[in-house]
Amino acid sequence: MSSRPSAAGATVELEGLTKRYPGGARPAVDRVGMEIGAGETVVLVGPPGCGKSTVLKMVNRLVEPSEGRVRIDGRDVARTDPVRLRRRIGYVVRGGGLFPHLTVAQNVALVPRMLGEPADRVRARVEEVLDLVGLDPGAFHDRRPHRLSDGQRLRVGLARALAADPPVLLMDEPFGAVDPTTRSRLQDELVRLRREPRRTIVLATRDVEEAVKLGDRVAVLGEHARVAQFDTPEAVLVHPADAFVSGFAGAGAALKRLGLARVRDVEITDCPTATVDDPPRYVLDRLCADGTEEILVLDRWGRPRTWLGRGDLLRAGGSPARAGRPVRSTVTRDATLRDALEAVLADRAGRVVVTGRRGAYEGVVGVETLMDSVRELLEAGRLEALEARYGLEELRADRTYAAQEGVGGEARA
Amino acid sequence: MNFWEYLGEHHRQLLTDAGRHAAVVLPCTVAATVLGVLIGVAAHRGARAGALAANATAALSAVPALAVIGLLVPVAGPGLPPTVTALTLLGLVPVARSAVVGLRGVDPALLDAADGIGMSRPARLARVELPLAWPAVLTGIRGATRTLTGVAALAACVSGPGLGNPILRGIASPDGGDALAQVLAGTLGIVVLALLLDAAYVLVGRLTVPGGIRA
Repeated sequence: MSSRPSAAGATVELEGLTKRYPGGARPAVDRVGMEIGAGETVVLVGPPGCGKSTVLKMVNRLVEPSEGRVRIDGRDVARTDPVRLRRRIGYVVRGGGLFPHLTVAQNVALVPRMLGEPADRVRARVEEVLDLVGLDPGAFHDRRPHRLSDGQRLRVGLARALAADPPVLLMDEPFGAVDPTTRSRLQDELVRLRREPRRTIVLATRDVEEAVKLGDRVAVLGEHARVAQFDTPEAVLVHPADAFVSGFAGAGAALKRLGLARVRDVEITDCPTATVDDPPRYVLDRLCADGTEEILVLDRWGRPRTWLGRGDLLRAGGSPARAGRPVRSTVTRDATLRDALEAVLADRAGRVVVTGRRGAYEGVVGVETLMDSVRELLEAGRLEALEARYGLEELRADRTYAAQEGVGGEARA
Repeated sequence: MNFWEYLGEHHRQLLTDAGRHAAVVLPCTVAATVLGVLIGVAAHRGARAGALAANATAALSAVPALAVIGLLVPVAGPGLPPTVTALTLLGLVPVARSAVVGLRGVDPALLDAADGIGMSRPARLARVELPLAWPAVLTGIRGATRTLTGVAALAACVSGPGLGNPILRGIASPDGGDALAQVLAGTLGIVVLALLLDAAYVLVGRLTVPGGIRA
């Protein structure tokens, strides 16, 4: 399915988009204009009630604009039948919006089935897309939503939205109802999903950190969905356009920059591992041979399970399955340095396990590596800010020169 | 003749009556369900239509069933037709009401999700709204069946079938030796039938309400 041209994403243009509700003194959304490139992830962030949801819903015509236009790949959505249009646009709502009376597979299969795809293709696609969002199709296929955790529900909601491989994905405060740990994990997954087949994602949130973490560009919306700033996350944090943006983005912008860098950007090291099925003798040998304090025990599927010290093994009567300190938090390569730092600081030995797909072990990141990267990053940030300022001054100097000499500025450049 | 002797002598007749009783009640319940759900679907969206339907069905439920059956005899003739018509009308009331309640109780966020993934209105109704409203509707149908099982005894007044007949015979000849036994047998027969049908609905609920929305 990835061979479809649609998988490259589509451009989304909003043009003077306005929504007035009867009885409202001022429009809920007032002349919003935005151009979103194919394959780009744009996050609309703003305080509750600023109209970001309404903007999103005007894209798939759940809300009809009073004025203005939405174009997807250059085509005006008002000219497309809304039901057909929506089948081609993925839509994820808060909490996933799963139908409780249908199984996971039935929920996911809805859109491809409505599009009239043959049953065997639908079945294959359901498996594929469940796997894509990190759920084991065998285990989850026939479950109903009430037997899923919040995070799993959201994953299924995402799978449902992706099932027909839409070029555009709309997400309306998707992570609003899940706890912080699950949220940051799901955000990491979204970063990964976004990379696999490129698609255009428009996400609405009230959480600035989420916006900065997920967006290629961030649109900070004020009242009546006024676009206060539409720029890269770095720019929003480092050069807020006005007082509203800097107030909303909040203090601690430097710390938020940590939310921009990812674990994949730092060095991930290996650490001695064993599996639960290894004989205790072997585990002990490895512990002595490597001269390390602790060894990481993986379960049958290669997922980190416990940190095992020499003492632990002796105390537990030699079985690596029952001894040791359980691995509490792990991060993926897509996790931000901020999340990694938090996990590292909470760990007794000052390190965090990095996992890949389905939670399998990939390596560890230690506190020293992390601090070095943080230092470099902050240094780079300071340089960047300086450069930007210098660049601005240079530009001004050019303009002045041009104005004085009456020639184009590029003559000097 | 005491009750047990009467039962021993007439059990075959009573069983036939009970079977006919059920044979009147069940088709009426089905008809009432179909009509009631249709009314519920038509009425649940608009506030005014909903109120109208609620009032109309409430008024309908206030009309004595005996009067309805009696009034229908000149039009529909005696026996089965007036009974079936009256029972269907009577059964429709709780079903329509519970359908409105059930459909209105569907989480708006789910309707938003259904629209958002591109379901057409009829598809949304068939695949999301009605299945989610079904437990409430089923409660309505269960109540309707209970009422209809009792009221169907009135069929005997217009020479219809069912367990109303022994009751009516007992009432008609109060001096006969087994008057009390007849009334008692008919009444208890209806009660037992109602309990059996009620139990059947528990089973129907188990089989038709998916795990995710079972209360």
